Amino acid sequence: MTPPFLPRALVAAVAPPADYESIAGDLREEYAARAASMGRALADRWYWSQALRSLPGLLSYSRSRHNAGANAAAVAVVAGAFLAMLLCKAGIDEAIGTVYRAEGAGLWPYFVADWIDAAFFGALLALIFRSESVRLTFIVSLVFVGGFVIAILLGLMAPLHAVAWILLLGAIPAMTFGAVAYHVVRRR
Amino acid sequence: MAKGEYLGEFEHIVLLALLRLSDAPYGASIRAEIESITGRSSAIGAVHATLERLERFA
Repeated sequence: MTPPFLPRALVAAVAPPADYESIAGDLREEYAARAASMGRALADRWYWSQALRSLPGLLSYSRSRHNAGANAAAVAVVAGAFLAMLLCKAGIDEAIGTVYRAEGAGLWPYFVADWIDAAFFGALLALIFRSESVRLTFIVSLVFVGGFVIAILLGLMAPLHAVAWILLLGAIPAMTFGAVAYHVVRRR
Repeated sequence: MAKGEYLGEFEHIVLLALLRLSDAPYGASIRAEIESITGRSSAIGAVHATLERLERFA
């Protein structure tokens, strides 16, 4: 029996890579026991509660600094997209005109590009951090800047829409893709 | 008194649970032990983070 995807992704995004398996294993074990005794719905609620309540502890984890690549890439992408949206709201919207008016399905290419951006920079940062050397700080800085620039460009090209759209289609998948790419590359 | 110099309440509870679980304790069993002793439901992430802090203290 598999726990719900979103809280699993949340834990994967913030847990230190070295300890992720043991944390996820503990959660899976108790989830399975609860699902068998209380039913799936209550077990799902328990898993969500555990994932959300675990965030402060996992974020303060000293070893979670090794997650910096994925988290920073996701933050770069999401923050860049938000910044771009704010800039658009301030007036670029009027200047650019109809480019920003598309709704619904017209948004998808921009968000998919945003996720790919997050995944790419998450993986790239994982490769750099895997060397466990500080000599590449300069390159890391360039990667951060690159992530921001691409995110801002994507945000500028994307149509305007509600913040909920950004959160659902941009922030959460971007963080997930960035973190997953980071974990996959680090484990190789 | 420097911050982080002494163990906090939750760290003490985790340590006591570890002592009670002599047979290969791990995250889920420690969490269950804490819940059975104190009646408090703790987050698995908090348990792992505390274990990691205790490792650094040691």
